[in-house]
Amino acid sequence: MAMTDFVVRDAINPSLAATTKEAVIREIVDSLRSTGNIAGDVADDIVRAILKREQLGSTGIGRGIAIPHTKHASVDKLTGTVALSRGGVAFDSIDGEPVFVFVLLVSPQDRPGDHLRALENVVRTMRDDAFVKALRQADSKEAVWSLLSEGSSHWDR
Amino acid sequence: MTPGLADHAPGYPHNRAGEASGAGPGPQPAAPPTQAAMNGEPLTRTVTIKDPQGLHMRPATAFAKAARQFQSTITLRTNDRSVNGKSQLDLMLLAAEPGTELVLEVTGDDAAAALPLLADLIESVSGEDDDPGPPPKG
Repeated sequence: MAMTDFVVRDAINPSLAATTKEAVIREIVDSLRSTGNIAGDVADDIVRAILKREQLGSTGIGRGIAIPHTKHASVDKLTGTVALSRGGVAFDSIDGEPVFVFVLLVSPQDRPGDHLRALENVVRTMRDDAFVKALRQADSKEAVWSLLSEGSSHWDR
Repeated sequence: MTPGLADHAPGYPHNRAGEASGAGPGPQPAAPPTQAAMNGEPLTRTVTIKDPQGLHMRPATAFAKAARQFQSTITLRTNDRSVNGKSQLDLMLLAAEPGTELVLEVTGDDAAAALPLLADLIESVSGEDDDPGPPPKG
């Protein structure tokens, strides 16, 4: 599995307008709704579920990266996207630092393996400081996508 | 497999309450089961992921946090991979699905205390993300 297998290209947001945890999650989910990867009538429920998950412990994994996620019965395959914040967002991350790179995941209820492999993929890809630095400087959907494509092939072993 | 391990590793089956309350830093009664650890020999136990969601982010975070309370080196191994048990990110690299068997390996002065506690923790079930029930905030 590569990040480009589950990241919805058209939903990539290289410059989030939102500046708070809740608003960022809402903005990213809205991108996935507008591309049709999340049904319109469940977007609010998905936002709520992701926020509820965050209350159990932040998905901010440090180094400016967060992986907000939830399972939801309305999706039949794992979907997600990448969004970048220029100013950084307070996210209660493990290292206390603001988050600049978001990878949001919505998984089907009954397929933990896909979710685990997606998490593994994001974590593995994001281990490379140079990759994260380049990603944070990407200024368009295309630039983000091209890095994800390169990053994935670079790291696939 | 060293004889030392066989002797005491299975000796702590599900005795969590005793360890948590009465034990303190040296939970061994009569025999000196820390000896192997003291000698730098790793203590190992095969553990199985029982959480129906696998070793996902929340249990990985909880495990790494608990592992960091010990001075010992904590390693988890699959057939083809070995990661630092004190790093939640390393643990997520395992992508361990339910039913996966892992070897928990602990080396250091507090290994005998760490092994049963961490073995129980990694075999525990964290509960669903989407439990029904009232949300924590109003």
